[in-house]
Amino acid sequence: MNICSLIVHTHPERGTDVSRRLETFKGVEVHGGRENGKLIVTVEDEGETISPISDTMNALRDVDGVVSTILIYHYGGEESMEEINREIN
Amino acid sequence: MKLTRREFIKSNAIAAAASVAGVTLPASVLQAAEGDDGIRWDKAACRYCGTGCSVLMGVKDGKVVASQGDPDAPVNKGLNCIKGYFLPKILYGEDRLTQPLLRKTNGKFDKNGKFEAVSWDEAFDVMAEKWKAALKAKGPSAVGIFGSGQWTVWEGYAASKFIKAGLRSNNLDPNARHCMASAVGGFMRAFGIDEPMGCYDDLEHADVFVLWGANMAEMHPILWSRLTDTRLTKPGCEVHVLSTYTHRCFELADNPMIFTPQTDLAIANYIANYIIQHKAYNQDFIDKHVNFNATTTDIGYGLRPEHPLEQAAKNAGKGKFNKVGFDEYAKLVSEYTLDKAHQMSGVPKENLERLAKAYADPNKKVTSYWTMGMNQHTRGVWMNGLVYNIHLLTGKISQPGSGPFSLTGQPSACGTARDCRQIWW
Repeated sequence: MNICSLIVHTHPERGTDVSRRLETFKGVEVHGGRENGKLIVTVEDEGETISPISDTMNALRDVDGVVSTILIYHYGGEESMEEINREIN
Repeated sequence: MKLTRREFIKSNAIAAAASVAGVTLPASVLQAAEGDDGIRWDKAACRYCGTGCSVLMGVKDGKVVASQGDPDAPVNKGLNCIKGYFLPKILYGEDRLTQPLLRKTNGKFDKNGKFEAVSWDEAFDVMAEKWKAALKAKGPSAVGIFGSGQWTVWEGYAASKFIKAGLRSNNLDPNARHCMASAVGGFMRAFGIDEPMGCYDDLEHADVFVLWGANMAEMHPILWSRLTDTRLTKPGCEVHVLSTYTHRCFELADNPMIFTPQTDLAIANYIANYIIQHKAYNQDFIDKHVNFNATTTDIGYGLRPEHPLEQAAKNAGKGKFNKVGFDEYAKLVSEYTLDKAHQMSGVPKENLERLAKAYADPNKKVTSYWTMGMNQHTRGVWMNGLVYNIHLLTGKISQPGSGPFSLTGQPSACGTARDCRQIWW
């Protein structure tokens, strides 16, 4: 199970457009920063296949309008799907 | 609010990114991140490249489960990169080497055999036997070690002791020789000492960035991210990108330039000529700090004397400096006109002129970046020197935001090459 957060730089005027393109990738969500050109992005996978998340991050870098893709936080625990999706509070 | 562990971790990840980016998100997105995730965070150094980032490693139940850029680190300021993603992964990779392997056939060492797991005793016995045989047959010149810029300084120190004091051989070649020899040559010839000036704070102080072949977007992503931030937030900031091919940095380039390989020398001399013709040089700085020397040309390529290229060169193996004055230097570069630089490089004239103007403008702070395209050039020492010329003519050197900056790729190239050999030896 992998969860990553990234900052994706774009020219500010292209923030919304680039954000839409990023969200076409599986497991990718944009949480804000469109107007600053600093998109706050998460990338998740289900952990069943070997490291597709790094492929996704590389693919994001090649999206038209993306200037820089930078990783901030990575979680890669090995708990089961049942465990990770259990309610904790 | 009910929350799963996945949502909780995700909120933490989002909060970390938003905080580093200085982006404000709705409270509803972030409130889930409050609480204890059971992860213990410790500081570590990222060992992948020469940038020098600090990372935080998250441990749970004795195992690394998470990582993030250290928000308090002055180099990466909370940023991490795709290489950092693999830091925890490599600790637990199934193909990690955990015991010595030896090529064997029928239970005996054989260079062409297949790898078999052996004990440390057997591994050391075979190594000792082979080293001794080589030393006995041909002496210390028959043995050697290739070092790595991924060695720790301590490993480099141990290797240095082993090969020099133990085996009495001088054949220890560090990563730095293969990687940075011409950068060092350039430094020694221009400044008499080998170490880059400038620092990462220039990434926020500069008005103009010039990439001489460096593909920072892919090779130095952390520094590129800081540069991007400056370009997108500082009014008037410009990015000039010189390369022999189009790469990711062109996305941000205000002045993109594709040049014919090797013609960067002509472009650099054109810029120097432009600065002189427009009297944009800093006379006070030159008077105080600059000597002019012309180097011998047609010097060959540092190959063996019998090589046809060496035999064709008039001054093979030479490189003497001859003292000249400013006027003579000005005359030497005067042939590199805009027309000539354009014809040789294939770069449109308006782009070349825009680049030259940026360097010449006394009100603009300019930082030049380059990596191995320039350092592993067949004329790497010269090319380093030509960029120093531009910065020395304008006095744009060792000033906040201004300076020539050779970027490196390995965490301990200089450390293992110099500290181990000169300081500790």
